[in-house]
Amino acid sequence: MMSLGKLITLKTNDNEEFKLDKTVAVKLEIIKNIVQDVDCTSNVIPLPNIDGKTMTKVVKYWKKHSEEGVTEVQLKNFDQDFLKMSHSELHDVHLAAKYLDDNQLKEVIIQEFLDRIKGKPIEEIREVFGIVNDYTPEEEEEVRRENAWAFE
Amino acid sequence: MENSIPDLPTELVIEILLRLPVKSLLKFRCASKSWFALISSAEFVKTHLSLNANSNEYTRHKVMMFERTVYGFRDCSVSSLFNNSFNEANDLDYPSDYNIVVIFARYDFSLPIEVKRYSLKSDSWRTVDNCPSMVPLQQSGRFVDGKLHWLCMKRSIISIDLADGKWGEMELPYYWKGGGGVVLSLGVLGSNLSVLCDCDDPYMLDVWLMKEYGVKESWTKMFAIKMPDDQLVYGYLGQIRLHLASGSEILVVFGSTFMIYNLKGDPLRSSKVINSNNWDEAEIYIESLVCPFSTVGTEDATKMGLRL
Repeated sequence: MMSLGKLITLKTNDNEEFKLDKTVAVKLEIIKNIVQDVDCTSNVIPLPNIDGKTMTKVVKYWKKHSEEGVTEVQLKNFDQDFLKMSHSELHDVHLAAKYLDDNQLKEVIIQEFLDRIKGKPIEEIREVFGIVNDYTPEEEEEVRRENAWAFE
Repeated sequence: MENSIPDLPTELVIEILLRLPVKSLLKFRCASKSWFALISSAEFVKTHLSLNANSNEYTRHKVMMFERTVYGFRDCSVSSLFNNSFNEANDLDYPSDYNIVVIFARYDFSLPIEVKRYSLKSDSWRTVDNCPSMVPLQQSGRFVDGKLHWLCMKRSIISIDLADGKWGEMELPYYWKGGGGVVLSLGVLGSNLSVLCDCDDPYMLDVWLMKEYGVKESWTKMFAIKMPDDQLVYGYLGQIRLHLASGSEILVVFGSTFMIYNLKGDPLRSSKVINSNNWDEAEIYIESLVCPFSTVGTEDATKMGLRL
């Protein structure tokens, strides 16, 4: 009878399965929509754009944030720990959150990117974003001079 | 943790950049030519301005205070006025006239009133004709819907359209006609014109909002502010101004004092800028990437008005 139960299975593109409480899962618009379409007897929802590694993180985030009686401080500590990942992992989670239409998670990731570039010199910003500096030294000097106020 | 994100999509980069303050963005223009193009593009400039101007938390709004005695400007963030009782202001460079769009008016009792308008696009001054006989120069114009507005003889609102330089006139709420109420000042709350009115109770001030621009029937009494008992220290009533609502709170400017009013009707609470307490005028502003020397976004730039 588990097909009629409270669990929903999410299946990633590398065939990893995540069993989620239905009450957690249907908070997300996209899952709610898929649940209505999917055959009720299987309860398996395919996520063709997300891999298992990324989905593990997303599910961890959802579970913590829907925990009963969890305090603001606990969530803050959890988020801090949760966000300790590489830039590209962060990017993957952002893509997943975007696909799953989870605005809260999306916002958290963008804020983390902002924190990572805050107060950093241009050279480090280039590194973080993988930007190739295509200015000649003279051109860069001129742009810097024009925007000198911003470097004060 | 590796250093860079390979192939970070432009879409995500834009989402991140849009949340940054102007100063960081000017700096980031030096990162590469493509970032320069992106941050300077008309679309980015416009989106950035509208995101900041419409943010509910007023994270990017600042208040600029002008002190005549030292002839200097200081600024302080609006959100800190709401959140702290004591704030510190930063000194600002004295802005050059050339990067402000100006409504220029001269007032001399012996001469007819003359109003001039400066247009960035044509870089020229023009005299505005048909000026109403009573342009009240004791107040800065209030900007809403592309027009600057003044309270005229406390009986009507006159406006000048920045696009075509045409004058207009609007009615105030009716209620003052019967009773002894007087409309004291004109302001902007959110994106609506508002007026502050004297009412029967000498310690209360009524706040009216024109909910639909230009529709006199849409004037609605929103709430009443209880004046502090020692109201006389704040100078005469005409200098009271309401600024922004932050959730359920409103910034009230009494003469040279900032106070916070909450809609529950609690007593006003003061918010001090410790190193700037003798300013003469204060304006709320936001920074933007709009450049007055290019045609990009000049429609937005014309939304700024300053009385000289």
